[in-house]
Amino acid sequence: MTKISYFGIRHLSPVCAYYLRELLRREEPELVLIEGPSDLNRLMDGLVSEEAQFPAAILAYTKEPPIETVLYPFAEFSPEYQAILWAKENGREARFFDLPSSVMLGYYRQVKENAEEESDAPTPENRSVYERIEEVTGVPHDAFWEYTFESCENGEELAKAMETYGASLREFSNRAKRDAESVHEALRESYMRRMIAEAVAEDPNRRIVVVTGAYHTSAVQMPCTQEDIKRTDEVLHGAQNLSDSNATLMPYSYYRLSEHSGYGAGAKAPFYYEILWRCRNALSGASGGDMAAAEYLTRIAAYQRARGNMASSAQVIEALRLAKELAVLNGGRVPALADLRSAAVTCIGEGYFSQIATAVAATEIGTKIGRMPDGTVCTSVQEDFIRQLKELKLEKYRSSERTQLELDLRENLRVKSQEAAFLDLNRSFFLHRLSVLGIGFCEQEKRRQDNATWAEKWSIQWTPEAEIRIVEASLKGDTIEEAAVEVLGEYLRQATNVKEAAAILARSLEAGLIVCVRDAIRAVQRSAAGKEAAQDVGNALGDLSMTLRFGNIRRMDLSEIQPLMEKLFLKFCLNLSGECICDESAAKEIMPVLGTVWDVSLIHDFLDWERLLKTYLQLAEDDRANPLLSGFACGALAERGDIAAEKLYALMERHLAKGMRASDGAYWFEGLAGRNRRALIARMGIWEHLAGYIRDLDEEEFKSVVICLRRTFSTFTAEEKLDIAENICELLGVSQTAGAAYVNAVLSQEESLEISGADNSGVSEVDDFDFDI
Amino acid sequence: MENQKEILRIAAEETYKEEIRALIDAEKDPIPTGWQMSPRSVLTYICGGKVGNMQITPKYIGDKRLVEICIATLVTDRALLLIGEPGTAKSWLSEHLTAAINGNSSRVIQGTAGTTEEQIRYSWNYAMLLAKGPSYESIIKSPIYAAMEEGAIARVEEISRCASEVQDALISILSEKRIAIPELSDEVAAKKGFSIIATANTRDKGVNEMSSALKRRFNIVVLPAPASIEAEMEIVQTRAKRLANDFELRAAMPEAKTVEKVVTIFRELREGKTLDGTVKLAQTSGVLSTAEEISLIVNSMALAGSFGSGKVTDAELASALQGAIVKDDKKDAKVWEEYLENVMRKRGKEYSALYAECRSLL
Repeated sequence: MTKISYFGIRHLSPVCAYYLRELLRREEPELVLIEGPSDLNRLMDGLVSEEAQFPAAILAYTKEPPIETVLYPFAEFSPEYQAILWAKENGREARFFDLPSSVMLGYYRQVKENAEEESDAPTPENRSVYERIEEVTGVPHDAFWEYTFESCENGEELAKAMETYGASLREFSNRAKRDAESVHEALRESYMRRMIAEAVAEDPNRRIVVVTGAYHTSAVQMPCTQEDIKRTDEVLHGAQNLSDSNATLMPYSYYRLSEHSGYGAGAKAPFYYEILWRCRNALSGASGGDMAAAEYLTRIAAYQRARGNMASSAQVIEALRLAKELAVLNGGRVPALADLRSAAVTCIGEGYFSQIATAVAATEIGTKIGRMPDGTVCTSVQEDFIRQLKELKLEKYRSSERTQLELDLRENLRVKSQEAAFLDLNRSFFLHRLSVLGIGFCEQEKRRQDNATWAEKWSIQWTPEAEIRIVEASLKGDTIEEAAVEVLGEYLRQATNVKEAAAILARSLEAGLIVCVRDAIRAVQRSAAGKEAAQDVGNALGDLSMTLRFGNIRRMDLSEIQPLMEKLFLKFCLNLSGECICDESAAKEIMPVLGTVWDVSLIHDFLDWERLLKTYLQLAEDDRANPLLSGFACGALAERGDIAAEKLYALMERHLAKGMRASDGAYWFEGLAGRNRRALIARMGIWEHLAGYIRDLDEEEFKSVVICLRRTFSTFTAEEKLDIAENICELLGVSQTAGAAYVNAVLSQEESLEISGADNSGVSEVDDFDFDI
Repeated sequence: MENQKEILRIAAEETYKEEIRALIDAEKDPIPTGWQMSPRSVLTYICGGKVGNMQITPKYIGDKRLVEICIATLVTDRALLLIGEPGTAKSWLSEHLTAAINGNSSRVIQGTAGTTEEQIRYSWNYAMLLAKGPSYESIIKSPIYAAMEEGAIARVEEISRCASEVQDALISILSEKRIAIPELSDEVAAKKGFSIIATANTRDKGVNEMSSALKRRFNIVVLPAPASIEAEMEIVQTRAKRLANDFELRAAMPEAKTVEKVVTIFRELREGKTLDGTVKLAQTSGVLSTAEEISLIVNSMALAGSFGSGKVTDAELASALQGAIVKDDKKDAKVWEEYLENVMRKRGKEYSALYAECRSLL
């Protein structure tokens, strides 16, 4: 007669892992059945091989797009892994006996399709079940789990408790369950019953231990019926079985295991659970809770100290006492993670979670990344990469020789299919995504004509390192696109100011990642709220304007940018006047931004032109503002006649007046000329005033002014200088040709000698210098 | 206490006498030395619940976990420091904690710039000192001294307003748990159950930095501004109503919609983003606390009652908002204008009248 023992577990639970091993030792079964994809038993060997380091995962994926994936993560303290390990150590057989991964893939595809049809996001079922448990117990579910189960010190006690837990999970979720999901769960259970029956039929005399989630334990104990066999047969031979799929082991990370990445089976704090697992083993079965609590708090303190913050042992002791009291207050014997965290905040973080947030992340989640033996890893990202190379006709570039590729992103009108028309655009997206991931396969070369947004030049070279990086990218996502989205998301979270966020926006656009574009727009919005320098805001406005203008070449919906630009624009206008009161070096940085914003406002008529005019007028009249900037504002306003001529001359007189510092006047003129020179040259009045100004300077003043003026006019072209000369000649009543020739003439040797005067001696000294040292 | 009606404000343990009685009568859990009820009952008293047939009203609306930390701290005989912006119920919480634990919330030292070290330890009755010399009769005990003798909890309000040297007088009391009286070559040692609850305000102007030596001797709990807009509205409405009754204002309580507008604006500016989280905003230099919301509502009611129609209109609200948000700083005006233009203007009809009024004041 077959003796079957059933053991209900919670995934990733140290206490379950420990007592499962104890049960296996006691029962010594010939066969262990484990909840997991029954078609992937072959991957078990890799999982328990000596080179394997955890966390790891089994990843199954479809080969054809749309790519569907299903993931089975394992940590060292996973009961499933410990069961496989025990079987290997003792030479027994272990088998997965849940639905094959190919069927699971089919199920997830259905879920996705249904979700798209219904358009309302499916709420994760587990949550409502846990909420109900919370209602009953009055304690948050995680804390409840830790108080009741994780501190258990007896295998039989735990097995009983798990039974009750499983039963209540079933009870609560039956009420809340959506149909499609409950059908799926029932199907899994039918399949597991069938597999148990088959295992018994194979050899009726062996002992079997069955390991499933506590939720399923009671269901898989029922006998397998004809109905079960019929239903599973239907599915196995039906459309839900996506047999064109593949599976691989892959290294996983604690970060991905934690709930940040959305895996709901309760590994919020994988590193803390690892501590619990270690402590329980060290104490051979006694609850490791107290020991783990001490380690948790000590690690937080050590982390704080290592980063130069104060955290004494006395604080750790106080925190431990507080955590224990909190546990008692909630009816627990040993502090739960939530108690530890509260205690750490109170005693080590001085009441602020933000002070210890990184320490908490390091202690609860950790940065551990697993490793798998060579040759066992074949990830979906690798396949995605190869598939895309083929689709985009880039395969020939996959050689170790460096090759060039020129892309024209515009629609190719000479070909028939849509795909071919945008081939280069899609290639560009793909290559940009690879560079976001840092794969190192391709590199964009700078083009001379950097305004041509439709043309790109790439240099491509395949290296073994690129292969490794692609495997690493699978930690970020299951396809190239997903991984790139994740990476840009990380950058966005780290971006601290408008400038960085706007730059990421541009990258998302280049890589064709619509999700990121939206997030980036939001990030620009967020970072635009702080005390941003007007020049950063102005630069971001310029970037956004470019994005808006050239976004359509990349066929994207950019309607969200407009309100954002309006907002930044307002901010720029409000803060400009204050920031223009600055020194010369700052003013030089702000000046080009003034021009950018002016241009941007001219292009987009949704921006409040009147407000900009008002702001620039205010700046032009503001005597405290840097003369370079107020001059520039005048120049911009004069360009299209937005400032009355009398007003312009009045301002000019004011800035060039005797009382002002002479160099300030010259700076002002430099600013004025910084924009549209033609508009200035055409205004005779300006030259009249300038001539008057220079005439009135005495010798000393002239010397300081001439430097600035010379610098200003050095940027004028010969043609412009000619026109100015014409103006001046007219003013002075000299013949125009003579004047022009004089202005544009090359300096004679005597003249240049005279100018460089004092420097000459310096030059001769350098001549003697020995440059060959 | 016979003519309680004339007393402006009644102590917590008096107001909630019956609830405390009921909790003590129904006590089942172990009671720490010096306490009158178990930690769990204190939690029920503060956060509300049911004892027998009696409904206990919640005194603190907010995160239960913070109250748990406070109580657990006092069980471990550590001192408790409550930090928060004005109007986050620091003093309120400390008063109710002592009322529940000791049945006496009156052992309190008000921290001011003029608080001296003597007020923390003990001082002398000088007439008696001159007549009898240093003796136990001539000592005037501070509330902390008294609490040590009785094994009870003393409160120090606004500790950060005291000068640093006065704050530091607490260091030795908290670590040694005794006060030396050199004049009598004696010392008073604290009985079990003694502890201190201090409150401090960090973002206000005119406060002294607390030394880290002192901070280390406290378990620190930071009380946040109300978590949800509903909770905040509830607090503002009930407190404003009570104040308006106390002051006998002749104006009607503003409608819930009006309160919601005020609370929304305050919350958004305080948190630096709109309630839906889509737009981030610049923050003002002022604190924009719940307490300010309450006084804003009460003030506009007083204005409307004494000089207006008896109903709070948008005009009164606008000037009160302007006054509360734009403090002496020019930057605040910019933040306010940016908020008006970027957020309020786009809010639609409900806000348009208020927007116009606010705009006209800029």
